[in-house]
Amino acid sequence: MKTEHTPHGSEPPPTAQLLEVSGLSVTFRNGVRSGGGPRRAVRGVDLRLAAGQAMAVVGPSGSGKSVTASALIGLVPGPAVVEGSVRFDGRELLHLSDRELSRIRGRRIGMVFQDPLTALNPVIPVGRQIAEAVRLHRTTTRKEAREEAVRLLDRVGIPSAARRAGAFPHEFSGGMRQRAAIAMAIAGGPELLIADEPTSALDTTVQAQILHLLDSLRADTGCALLMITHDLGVVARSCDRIAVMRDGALVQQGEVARLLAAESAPDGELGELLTATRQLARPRPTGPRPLVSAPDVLRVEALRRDYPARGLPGAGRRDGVRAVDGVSFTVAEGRALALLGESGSGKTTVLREIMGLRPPQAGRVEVLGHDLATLDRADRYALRRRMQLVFQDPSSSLDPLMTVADLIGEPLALEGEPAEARGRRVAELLDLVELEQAVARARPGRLSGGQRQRVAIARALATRPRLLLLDEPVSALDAPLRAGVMDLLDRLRGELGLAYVLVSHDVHLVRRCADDVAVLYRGRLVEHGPTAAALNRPRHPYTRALVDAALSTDPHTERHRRRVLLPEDSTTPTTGGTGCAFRPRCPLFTDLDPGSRRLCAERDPSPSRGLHPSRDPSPSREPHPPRPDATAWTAACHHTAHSAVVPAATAPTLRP
Amino acid sequence: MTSLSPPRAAGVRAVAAPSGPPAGAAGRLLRRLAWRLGLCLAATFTAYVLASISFDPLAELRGQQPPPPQAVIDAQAQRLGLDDPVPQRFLGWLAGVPHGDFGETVTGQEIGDELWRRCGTSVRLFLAGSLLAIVLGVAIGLWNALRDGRPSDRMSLFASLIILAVPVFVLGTVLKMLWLPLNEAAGTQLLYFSAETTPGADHTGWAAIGDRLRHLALPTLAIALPQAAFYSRYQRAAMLDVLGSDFLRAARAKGLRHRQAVLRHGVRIALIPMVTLFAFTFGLHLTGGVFTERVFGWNGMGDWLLRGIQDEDANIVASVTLFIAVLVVLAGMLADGVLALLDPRIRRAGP
Amino acid sequence: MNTLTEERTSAQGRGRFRSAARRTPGRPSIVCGAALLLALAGAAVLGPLLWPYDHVAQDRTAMLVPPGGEHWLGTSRLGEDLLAQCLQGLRKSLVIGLLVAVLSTTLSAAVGLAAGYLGRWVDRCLMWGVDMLLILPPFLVAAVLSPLLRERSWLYMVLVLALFQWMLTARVVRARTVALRQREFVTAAHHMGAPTLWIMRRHLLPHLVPLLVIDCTLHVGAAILGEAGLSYFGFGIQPPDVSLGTLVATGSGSALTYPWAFLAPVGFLVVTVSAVGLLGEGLRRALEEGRGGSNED
Repeated sequence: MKTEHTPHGSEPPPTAQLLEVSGLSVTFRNGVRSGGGPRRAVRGVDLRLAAGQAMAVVGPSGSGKSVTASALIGLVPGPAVVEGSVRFDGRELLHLSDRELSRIRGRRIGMVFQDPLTALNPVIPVGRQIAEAVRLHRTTTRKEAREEAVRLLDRVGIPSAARRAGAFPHEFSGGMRQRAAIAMAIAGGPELLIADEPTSALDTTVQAQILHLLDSLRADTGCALLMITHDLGVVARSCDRIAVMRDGALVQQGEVARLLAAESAPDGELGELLTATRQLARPRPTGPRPLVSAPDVLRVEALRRDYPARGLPGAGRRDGVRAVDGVSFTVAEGRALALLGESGSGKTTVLREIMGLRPPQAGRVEVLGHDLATLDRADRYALRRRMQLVFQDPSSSLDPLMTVADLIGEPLALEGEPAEARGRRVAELLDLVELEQAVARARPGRLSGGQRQRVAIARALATRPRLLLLDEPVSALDAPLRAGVMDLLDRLRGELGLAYVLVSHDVHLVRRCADDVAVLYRGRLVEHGPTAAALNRPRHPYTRALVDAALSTDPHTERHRRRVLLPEDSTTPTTGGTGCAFRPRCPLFTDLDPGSRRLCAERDPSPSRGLHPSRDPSPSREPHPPRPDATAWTAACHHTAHSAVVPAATAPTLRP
Repeated sequence: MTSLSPPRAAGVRAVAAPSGPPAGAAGRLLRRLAWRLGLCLAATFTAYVLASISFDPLAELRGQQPPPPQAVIDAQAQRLGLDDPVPQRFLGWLAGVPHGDFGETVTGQEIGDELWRRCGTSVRLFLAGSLLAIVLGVAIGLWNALRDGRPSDRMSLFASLIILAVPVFVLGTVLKMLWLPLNEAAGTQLLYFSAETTPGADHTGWAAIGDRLRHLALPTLAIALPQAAFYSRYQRAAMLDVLGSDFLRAARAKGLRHRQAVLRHGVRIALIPMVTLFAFTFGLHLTGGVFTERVFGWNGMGDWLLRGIQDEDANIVASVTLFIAVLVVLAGMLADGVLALLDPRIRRAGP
Repeated sequence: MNTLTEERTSAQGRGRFRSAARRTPGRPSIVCGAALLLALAGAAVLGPLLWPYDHVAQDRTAMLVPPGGEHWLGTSRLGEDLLAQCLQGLRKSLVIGLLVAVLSTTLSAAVGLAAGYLGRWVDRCLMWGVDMLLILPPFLVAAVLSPLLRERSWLYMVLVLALFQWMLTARVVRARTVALRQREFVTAAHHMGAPTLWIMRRHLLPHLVPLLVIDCTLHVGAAILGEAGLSYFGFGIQPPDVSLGTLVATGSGSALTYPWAFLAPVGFLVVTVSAVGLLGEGLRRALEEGRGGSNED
């Protein structure tokens, strides 16, 4: 065993360590997957974790943090050599046989994976999978194990657990699936829980619930937590210690309360990460652009889109799935509007409806003054050039077999532009997005995520569009790369006079980059107004919950604020429903008297101006509107007046 | 691993409350059956049309020396219905099928009677061969996947390549050649080389069964080996996919040993794609049965088909095609059933 | 997991074929298979020029001579030199195999792409046809058509073999296309206003090349076996032409008494088809496993 050393941070007393990792290295053997020779994914990692403690391992993608986690319990994916030492409760784990390790996995160390859909067996009911875990660690009858599984499901917060135990994983929502996976991990009553990005695939409000669940489990059972994550907000909220990895090595570790504190500015890898994250969370220094009477580039009025609900249980025969219903907004030249919402909110459907250039099912969409309902073929062709889409994940929106030059030049090639002119324009565009000319010959696989997204932006700009639709443009990137891409987009908007529609689930990002925000919930526009006002003093309870669920990197703020946790609503929004769609999850609704509740249940709230404009926190910063619809601040709630009564969940205060 | 949400519902969180199998399940099965029966008819029709265009049942008559009078030829043409257009002939033939009337051969024999006899022979042979092939193929494939890259896996790959390179009609002969020394060494026919039973031998009870089995052994092997080699390659690939999957790691993370995780969780998932493959390729494997019957002198449907083609007899070809098509449909329905057992998502999800 | 994804993506960036050539998980198979095939093809082309015996010359003084001596592989019942016959047959079998493979692969690519990308009724119709043809064994159709083809060129047989051998590949191509169609770069091209054929040619086909190369190889083997089956039963190549199938048929009558007349063509047949299989398996490993699943699936 190597002598222990910790690069940074204070050393806890050497006794009572639950987990001691020293010199852990993982080398993937020469094989197809490692792409050539042997590859060291983890190099000499030292970690120590005391009983009951929560430690976070953070790092950019590819830093080896996940491999480290799986190496601890001998489940490295693929053929690999694992060296070093992993001592758990004083016992060396690395050279145990599969049989011996299987007595530790699940019973003493539980593991939660990032994507619960691929981590659960798709063809076995959830309850039976949990019962199997129970039976592995306790001698019980089948019946007792089943009952215990239901108790566990109930413990992790799955409503009507007895009934849901018979459901299959695909019948659960993402959050419910992760709850079930956690139930499975704690079935053996482990002393250590390893969670590998347990909330990365989930919505922010669901993430808040899952983190809350993990906290309460730790409080109940006193188990330690090793959390792999890339999100410093999660670390600030739930962990005591932090370890930072880069290129397979552990480069920094220490106390969360000290390192992440608002006034601290650590150096090294963590410093970079922290600066980038704080930068993104800070409102844009320039403030919203002054409104001159710029022409509208995009007008959407009462847009509606249903999908057939065939085969969806709980839906009547004639009901459709309501994807978008009555959404209206306008975007003027040079302005950026954000569509903010979680998965299933219909924000992507709105984009698709605009991008498709087809007549909408109901309502009206006007792009650059052209009504989509009356477009002919030639108009549609001409409009395509003027409006472009940037996708979320550039590694899938760029054809991996084409070179960057071909990718950027493709829209031009489609217009029949000769190769020479195309080459010149590609060079120009590469300059515009701050990429080197040499990149032109590369294929996207060789570029970094940030470079790839720049290529995607360059491609979108090739035809000199006036409107860019940005679908979560940075959420696939690591935090340090996000700021760069967002700055680029900001700059381009100013230089080229572009209008943006930005689709995002990230409150921080929207606050930083958008002039106006439209908050969507289940296809309905719940709040719409200037970003600074709507996100700093939200009127609608859903907006408030979204803002509340967004995590800051300051451990002090994160640990001392009151949280409003939304319950989950796992029904499908059908066209048959009446009343406010947010009602089942609404924290306001539960506090209302029966009469007011009836209003929520029976009448669909329509967007209305705020009743108490005086409550607006920053009237001075809200520009005076030249047209009423440009900045009108509306919220679709019957009880916006009430909302002020409920203790405000203010935006996280961020001190630089 | 699988994308569960169809594109139309993307973005809409489609979460189902658990409930009993929806009423759509039975309807779905019926629709699949209708689809398959349609395929059945279309395949038979195609075979009938192709045969009618290609065959000239009067050629032999015309070629006789001395040439028969034109009236004789016309009479034969009339008896065979050659004057009618092909679709009408097909419909005429089809109309008889539900009553067990499959028309007559060129030489004037009832097809129906012989059909049932030959049918039994073929089904017996092919069923035994296929069952053996599936069991062998799946077992070998799984084993190879678990031994990925080791000598036994490589040997098995090599062996399966060679077996798949040997035509079935050669395989039968080769099996005979390999077995011949054993028969000679034993001084008696341990296993027989041709026919279903020993002609003339009047066995009863166990002796009769033993006699049949000794005839069945080699042809079954000849049918089974190539199929087993084929299935084993695919089963190996399917199992390798599963072995690399997250849920198997998750199953081990909750405390299952590797072997337990593979047996309890892995195998079932790895079998799912195989069932579909089985349904798709069943028809292709039937060809092997045709060859085997000829090589081992069994009077089954395959043998009859070859004879029908040599005699240029469209009715026989159509009848055998219908038989094949019905077998394929049955195999498909069986596959649907097994799939629903293995993968409850199919039962629960909508159509 | 992140690291793996990253690694695989970067491997793909080097260009599929170059990276495949560098790592080549199945290289021994590819080398062995290709070398064997080249040797066989060389023998089939050059052999008849160099070998002193003609494949139709009948030597009445040397009938059923066992292998060795002047006739390396012995002679047939009619005194024909077996090596000369086998080389001639091999030549025909290889030509048929290649032609059928190219034709059927092209057909399956076209049908699979159309069904997978266009979807809706095109998909339903084409897949119905594929399912129907999967019921009809190719052997049955080719045999049924043999009276028509008997007097015509063997090229018609190539056509028939190709027409009934593409269905499985078409199904796989369709499934891959459906998966590709949901990838964002295809959606992106669609939003750019790219016409259907452009998308198929520039964004779908290149991703299907590995699959098509592998299946094309395997089709060569299947076609050679298919031709041999037809010829064996007299439905294929007609005398005086010879193929490996007709030679096996002639030899099989006396397989238990004069095995060499049977084993010689069988040996050529089996070695050829397993060499093709070996090559195909090697290519599958090199192209499919090396292609980096992260972006492909």
